[in-house]
Amino acid sequence: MARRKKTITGAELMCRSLVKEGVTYLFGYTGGAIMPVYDAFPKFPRLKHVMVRHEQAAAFAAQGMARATGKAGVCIATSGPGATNLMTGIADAHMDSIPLVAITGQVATAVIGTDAFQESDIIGMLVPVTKQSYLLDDPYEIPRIVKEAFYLANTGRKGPVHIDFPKDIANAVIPDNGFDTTIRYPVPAPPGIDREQLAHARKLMAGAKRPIVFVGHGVIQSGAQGEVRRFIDRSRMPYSFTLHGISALPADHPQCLGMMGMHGTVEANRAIEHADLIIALGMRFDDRVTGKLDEYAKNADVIHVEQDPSEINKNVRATVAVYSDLKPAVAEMAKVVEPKPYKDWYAFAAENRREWERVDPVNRGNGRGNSRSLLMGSVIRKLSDLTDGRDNVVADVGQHQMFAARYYRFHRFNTWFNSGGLGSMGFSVPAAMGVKFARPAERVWVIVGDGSFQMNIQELGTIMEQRIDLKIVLLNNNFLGMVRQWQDLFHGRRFVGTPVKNPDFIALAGAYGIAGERVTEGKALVPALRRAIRHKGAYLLEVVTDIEEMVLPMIPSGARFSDMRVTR
Amino acid sequence: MRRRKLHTILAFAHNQPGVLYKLLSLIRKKRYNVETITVGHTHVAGISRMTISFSHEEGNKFEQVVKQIEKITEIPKTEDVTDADVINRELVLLKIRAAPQDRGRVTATAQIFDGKVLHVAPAHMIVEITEKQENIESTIQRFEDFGILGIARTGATVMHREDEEMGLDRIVLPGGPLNRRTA
Repeated sequence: MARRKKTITGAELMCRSLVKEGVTYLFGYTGGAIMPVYDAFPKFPRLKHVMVRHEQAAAFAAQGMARATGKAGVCIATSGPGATNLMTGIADAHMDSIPLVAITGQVATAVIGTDAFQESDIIGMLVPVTKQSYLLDDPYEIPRIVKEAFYLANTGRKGPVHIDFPKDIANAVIPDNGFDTTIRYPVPAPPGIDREQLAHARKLMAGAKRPIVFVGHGVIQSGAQGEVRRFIDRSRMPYSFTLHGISALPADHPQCLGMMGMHGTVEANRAIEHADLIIALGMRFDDRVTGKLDEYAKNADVIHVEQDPSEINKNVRATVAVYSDLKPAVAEMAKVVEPKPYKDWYAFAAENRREWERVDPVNRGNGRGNSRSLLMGSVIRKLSDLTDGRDNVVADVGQHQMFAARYYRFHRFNTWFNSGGLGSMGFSVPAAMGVKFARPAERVWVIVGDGSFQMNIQELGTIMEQRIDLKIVLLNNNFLGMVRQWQDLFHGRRFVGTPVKNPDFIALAGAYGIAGERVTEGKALVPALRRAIRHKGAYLLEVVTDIEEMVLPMIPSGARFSDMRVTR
Repeated sequence: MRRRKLHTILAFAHNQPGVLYKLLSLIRKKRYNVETITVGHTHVAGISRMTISFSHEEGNKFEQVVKQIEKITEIPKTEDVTDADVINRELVLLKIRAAPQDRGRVTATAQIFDGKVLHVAPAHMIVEITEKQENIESTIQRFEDFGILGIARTGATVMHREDEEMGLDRIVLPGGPLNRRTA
């Protein structure tokens, strides 16, 4: 009998290509068109599939994995509704530059375009929110496209890449004898900082009396924390974080002014208002950072170091526009910067910090609000103290997110995770699952509101099944608090669509076999947090919080920094 | 007549399914004011030339347009050629009202612009004119006195007078070394 040639199916080739890219965890949900790939999983024990309860959670969980490891996370879903359910998570990754490879099943190539059962033009829908989107219509192309997908997701400014995988291609049987894996689209390397730019930057830095360094998400993404730290140490300049820059450098540092922008600290925002030099590292001057653009940092020169040239001069004109990877550019800048004490400048910051500390509600009334319920800010501060700022914190979207950003004193690199650009409610629980799979030995906290918790609450099922040890702190004010705050300040206190009739969350968690307790009293908080820490396995700690609490200070949307409200 | 300032971008794209869709999606998403787009093959198999002209995109915004288009994976080279040393041409077909006694004058007007008469009907003529894009509107105006019954414009295409950087070093075309199409 003639020896049969070795063959492989498209689905197996997909799995093998994923293994070659170092993938371990895939977050997904099966269905008709993606079944052949699932069928091949058992042959590739290296691939661990985590079945979620809704595809959106698969995308967020993959993001959690990606945010924690810096490498593309993988989510997988079937065609049609499976694919469209991934979209929010993919769009979120696109806004926050998170590397992701999303694989969707597709109907067979012969029926694409005929409105077949569970067909959707997912490429058409995903083009605006992906770096690249492939229709994999040739089984011989599988190894090349998978390799290129990971390359594009992880290279340059990171982001999501999508592969649409028709069922007949997954079922195709082809000879297994070597495949082309050429990268078609090599990502150009940024030119870096040149002599002229460096000389200009040096001059601006030498002349600056009121400088401030902006630490953006790019510092974490490019792993440039060492270079930035050296620059900060050498220059002695104060620094401030964007929302996503938090945890790039320690929060407890004499030069740290905390977060900037709409809900930034008084000292950071006043410093920006009066700065004569801004050194912006790996950030994009989002509207939540700048407020009214024409009035933004009017007296400051801007040195902007960015690896995505389309972000330079987009919102804020740079005096020195450096299209470069952060590491080499910041290292060069550190060599030429002259240390200065900036005594008056730090005195100004200290004065602003004291002004805030005098009015910070968390410092008064034992951490309770007018209703005598606990304040979110004080819950986060307690958590921060208890964990020494060393745990992973995954926040959802809303007031609790801003309180977590402001009151948790992050000490460790890249331990703060949240949806910044798209602001997707429902992010935290599934994203934290991904973070926990990436960092099984570390503690992972979810900080979530009652509104956002219910947007992916079905993932309690995944947590139960996979025994994922998440400590969930549910800050429950029975309101969509952030919108309520805007209604309170700008819409005549007409609370439309924001009160929430909530279930018994502890009983709900109990139904999933997840332990938990409800805290209403201030003195019960710390013992409860300790119990959550000691408990083996997931724990839901619901804290009933003050309904009137506001995230302050606040620069109203589109307003000037000088319009910042420090108190109500 | 005051000529409208048009900005022109020349881009080279890997001719893959969906590239044009991506470009149009970007244009829609960013709300750019596109005047015309032309796309066609080049002498390099697999590479298309795209010429996009824009109106009213000022300073900062136009710089953004170029940078955003350059981010499309399959577009290895994007360039603002508004003030570059390029040849810029657009073809326009004009259907002009022309009674038999007007035909001579229409033909003469067309000849001023090196135009060609393509079709003569009892009451109208069709004239073809090729011009630099920003001149086309003033050319069309010369025919307004006769009465214009229809206009068909192709959009501009541009070519550098000298060497053209197509970004071929930033892309790997399938099938090994570049497969140059013989003219």
